[in-house]
Amino acid sequence: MKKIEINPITRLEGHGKIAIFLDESGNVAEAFFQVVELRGYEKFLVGMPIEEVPRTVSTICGVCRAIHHTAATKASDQIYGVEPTETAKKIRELFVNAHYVEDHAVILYALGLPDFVVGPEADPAERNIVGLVKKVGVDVAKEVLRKRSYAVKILEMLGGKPIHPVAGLPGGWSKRITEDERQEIEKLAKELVELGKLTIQIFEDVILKNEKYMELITSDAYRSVLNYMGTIDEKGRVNYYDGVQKIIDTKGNEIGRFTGKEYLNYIAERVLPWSYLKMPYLKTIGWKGIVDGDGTSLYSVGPLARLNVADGMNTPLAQEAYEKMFDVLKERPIHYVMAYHWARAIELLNAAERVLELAQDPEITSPDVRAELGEVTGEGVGIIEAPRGTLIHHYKTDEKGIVTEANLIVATTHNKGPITLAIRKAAKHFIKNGQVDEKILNYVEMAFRPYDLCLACATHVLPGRLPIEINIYDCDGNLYKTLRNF
Amino acid sequence: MKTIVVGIGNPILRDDSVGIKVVEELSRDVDVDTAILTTTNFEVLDKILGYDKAIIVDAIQTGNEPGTIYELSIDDVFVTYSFTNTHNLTLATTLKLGYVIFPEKMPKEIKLIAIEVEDVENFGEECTPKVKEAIPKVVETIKKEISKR
Repeated sequence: MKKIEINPITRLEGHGKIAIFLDESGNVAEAFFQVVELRGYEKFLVGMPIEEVPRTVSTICGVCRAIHHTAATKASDQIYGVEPTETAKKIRELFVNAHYVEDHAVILYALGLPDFVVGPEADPAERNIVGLVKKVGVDVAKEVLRKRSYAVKILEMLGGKPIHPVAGLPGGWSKRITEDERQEIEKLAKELVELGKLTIQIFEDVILKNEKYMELITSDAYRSVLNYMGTIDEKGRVNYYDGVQKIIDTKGNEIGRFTGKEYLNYIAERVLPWSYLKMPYLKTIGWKGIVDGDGTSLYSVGPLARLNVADGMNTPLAQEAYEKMFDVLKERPIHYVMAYHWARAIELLNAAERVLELAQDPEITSPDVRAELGEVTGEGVGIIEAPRGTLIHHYKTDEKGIVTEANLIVATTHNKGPITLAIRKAAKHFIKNGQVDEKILNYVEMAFRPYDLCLACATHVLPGRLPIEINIYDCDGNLYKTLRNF
Repeated sequence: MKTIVVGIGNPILRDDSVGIKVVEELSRDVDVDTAILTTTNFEVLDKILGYDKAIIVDAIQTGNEPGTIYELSIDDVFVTYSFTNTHNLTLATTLKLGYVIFPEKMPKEIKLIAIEVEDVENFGEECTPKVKEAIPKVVETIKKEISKR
């Protein structure tokens, strides 16, 4: 054993790298965001029986485990040609909504709100969740953390295994909910609704009532005019578990709707010369470059995108909050990137209300949780709304249901264009005449934090930070300055 | 002394699974409360609140020889001038936060045991050989640590 001093420089490769190019007068000409993704996950799934896949993919990402599990389970329904029972669908929806409460709470309180509540120019040592706790008070923080743990409890109860959910099966769910469990979930769900209400309240008190923060939200530096995509139910309302994907343009006009494999008709990927990652765009519009404004082919996904494409929310309190957001920001669709955080707060409340509704549904305790499997169809596409945006799991199998091909499109991939654009805009706004200081690092980070990037979320090796390096080059291409958050 | 041993990692990301493997092996022959986690966010607090002592096992990457075992304090891994991470909370941040919000319920003693890893970028359930060799050694260390109670 030895005691060491940790050198925080870990693996920049594999994580975020931002390159900013200045013009002759020292203003920003271009900015690019590069990520290197984890290798070989899809290959790892090839050769696996499809019914094993949901259990395996729940380990792709410690944060989004419930979501990957459910998306793969939905794909496995199609591979076995089976429609899950109504109760199974409701249990899955309950599971996904409980995950939303937990995940949105972490993102908002730990990552989003500190920028506002503590202030973007505050000392980084204060501009963090501990600073947030000091501002809102230890008692409120205690309440938030305690209540969000109830969502984790529900996930564990339904998932079948404490950490990695295993309960999703083709055609259903492996275990029913007993009446005792239902009562327990109902009790916890009432607390989750309180957490949702409290979150909206905190958002309104500390952000909406503060002119400076409202200016920041509506600043041009953080405004991207894009197309949006998200799932809606049969009444056009936001749904996380199932429905139809709807895409709207920058003015809110519908571009199209799709389910399953039809995603290939709408989404194409562009290989970019400066990155070996592909950037998705809308096929029906055609590649127009990394630009925003009317006619762009970039689209974004996630909380704000979902609220933008939908006609409303499926629960009463969230609906009220939804209407208020559009009233206050006075545009539709909303193009203010910072409004992602607001939309996230509304969704947290919505998911909590939905957990309660489902816990009170008489059908939820039915033992009818699994439908008979049909013939192996050989192909399945599971589309689900992850908290960060649309998640697509597409599998092909042989006649025995062994995976022969896997294609996973995660939210951060859909958002690659918008994230690059957001960084470029913030950089252009905050870097003038070659003046670059440490504060711009946070202003640039703030631009992509609303999207809550999931770059290498499968790994969180100590020291556990996502290193971001910003390299700034002068007009001759020489390295002018480097900013790092590590 | 009420003790819990927590293993953190991703079970299918090669050496990142080392914390989980240590806890699994430990719980086979020692009667101690254990937990496995895949994130370092608030869930860590859900597991350790109410215990007197917590031993947390995780992978670490510093560039030293793979398989090297470190015993660390929270401050040893609290390296960043900013807490904000775009996707996840760091372990150190979460633990520090625990002491701010739940001072009375947090373990009086937290020991972090970290194992230097080699490959955390490729998918697979097996650790690399040097990291694998470290597992029984870490298990022994924890056993000694527990017997101190």
